[in-house]
Amino acid sequence: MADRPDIDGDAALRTAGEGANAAELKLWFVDEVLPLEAMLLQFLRRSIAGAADVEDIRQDVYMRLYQAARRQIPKPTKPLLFKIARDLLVDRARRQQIVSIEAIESIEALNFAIDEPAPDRTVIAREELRRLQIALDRLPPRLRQAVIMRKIECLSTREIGMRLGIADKTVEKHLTEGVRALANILYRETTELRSNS
Amino acid sequence: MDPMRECETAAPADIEARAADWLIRRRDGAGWREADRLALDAWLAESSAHLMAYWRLETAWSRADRLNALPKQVSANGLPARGRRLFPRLARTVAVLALFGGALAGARYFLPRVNAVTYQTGIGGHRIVALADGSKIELNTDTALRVSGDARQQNVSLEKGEAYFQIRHNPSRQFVVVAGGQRIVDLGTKFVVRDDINRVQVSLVEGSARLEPLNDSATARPVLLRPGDVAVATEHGVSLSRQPQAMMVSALSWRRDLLIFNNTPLAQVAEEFNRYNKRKLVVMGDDARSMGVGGNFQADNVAVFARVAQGVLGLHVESHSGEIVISR
Repeated sequence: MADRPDIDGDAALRTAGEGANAAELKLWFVDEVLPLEAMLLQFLRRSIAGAADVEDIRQDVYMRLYQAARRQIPKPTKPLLFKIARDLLVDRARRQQIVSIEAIESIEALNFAIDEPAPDRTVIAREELRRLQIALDRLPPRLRQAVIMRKIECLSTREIGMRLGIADKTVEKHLTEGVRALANILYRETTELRSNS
Repeated sequence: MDPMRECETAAPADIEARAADWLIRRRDGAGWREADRLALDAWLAESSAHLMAYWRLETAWSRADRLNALPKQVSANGLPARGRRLFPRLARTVAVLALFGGALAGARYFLPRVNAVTYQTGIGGHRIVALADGSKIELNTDTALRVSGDARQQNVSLEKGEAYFQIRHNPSRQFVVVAGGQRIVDLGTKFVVRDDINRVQVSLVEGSARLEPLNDSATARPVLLRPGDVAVATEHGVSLSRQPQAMMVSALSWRRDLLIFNNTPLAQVAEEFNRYNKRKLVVMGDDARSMGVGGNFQADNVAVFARVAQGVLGLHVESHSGEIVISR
């Protein structure tokens, strides 16, 4: 239980879908889908190197996966996630009338990637703190300061603003940029984080 | 939701920025109104892309709570953690000392701060408070507690509601929780304290803690709690029972905003829901009240439970604006 992220009480659950299922969907998304993001990003970047729409596709994959999960939560999740990603890439290639060699190659290579064993849970837990710290260190100083004041010192937006002598709106902006940057670092860059240390 | 409409959503970066904005405002607590909650609900319902973006950031933000496990390392990286902020203050103190030569004026700054801070949540609220020593307190619905302390002792007084304590044990600084006439002294531990009217319940999840009455009376003596122990203190005394793991999980289910029932009498189910919702469940008739209910439910969605009661349990359900009446 301690290894799982805590989920705050939020309106999100109420709108997620039908009834008690909604909580289940959220747990599934957090526990099963998000840990695959690094691999998905790696796959997308390799398939459509340099393309500006990687984020669009990532979001599209989540959306379709979620719609499928509302009917029935896939078990396991990984094959369906990559099937959706692959289908989207094929559609995109057709639309653009370009089929890059890399795209085909990485789709073939994917069969190996899918079978990679998932890292041990205890390793994940140990990694977590280290990753968080690296993530924090990488934030621009102002963002980092705001995130630390919120997360470690538990200050409210107003208190942070008073202490730093900046407007509440600016604090909010730092925090929203901070959370986005943290999410990107946390869910991705597994390999980079490892090789850096 | 119409899939075509969903594909016409805004650019991903915009969605993510909006989601982050909602999250930060929602988590700040201050200034978050019912109207904001409704607006957030509406935004999330608009597209599953919104929902995915929100959940994704929310999870990262919650994971970052673990950061408070490493304040010292963090401040070594040039960050304004508590220890670091002291330096400019110390410098100022030294200046004051040089001017007035008053040792007493300086001494104030070296004493640990004894500020008391009150944290609270409204009905349906949930808040995590990270203390400077690395301990964490999670407040459940409708809860208020006061945190104070000095160099030797950290005090938390639970005024109402329920909280989950994850305490970073420090032998030279006792962590004491006071609730309804009972003191819980940490011996390295995770536990839940729930303060209902006339009754305090302490469930020990990990480690150990000592439970003792606030007023030393001849009859009551300290009880050492071990994992799985649930102590219930009333004005008549303290009773101790041992619960299986499943019960512990269920006792902590509110941390995930779930209520987990396992053959729980409907009357008690209603009570649980009523802690989280302004719209109250009322169960009429002994046969209905004693009926056993199982399953996982969202704490804040009483309407879903009412539907289940009607459709699955075959009970009679009447919905009014302020309450839902269930009978057989």
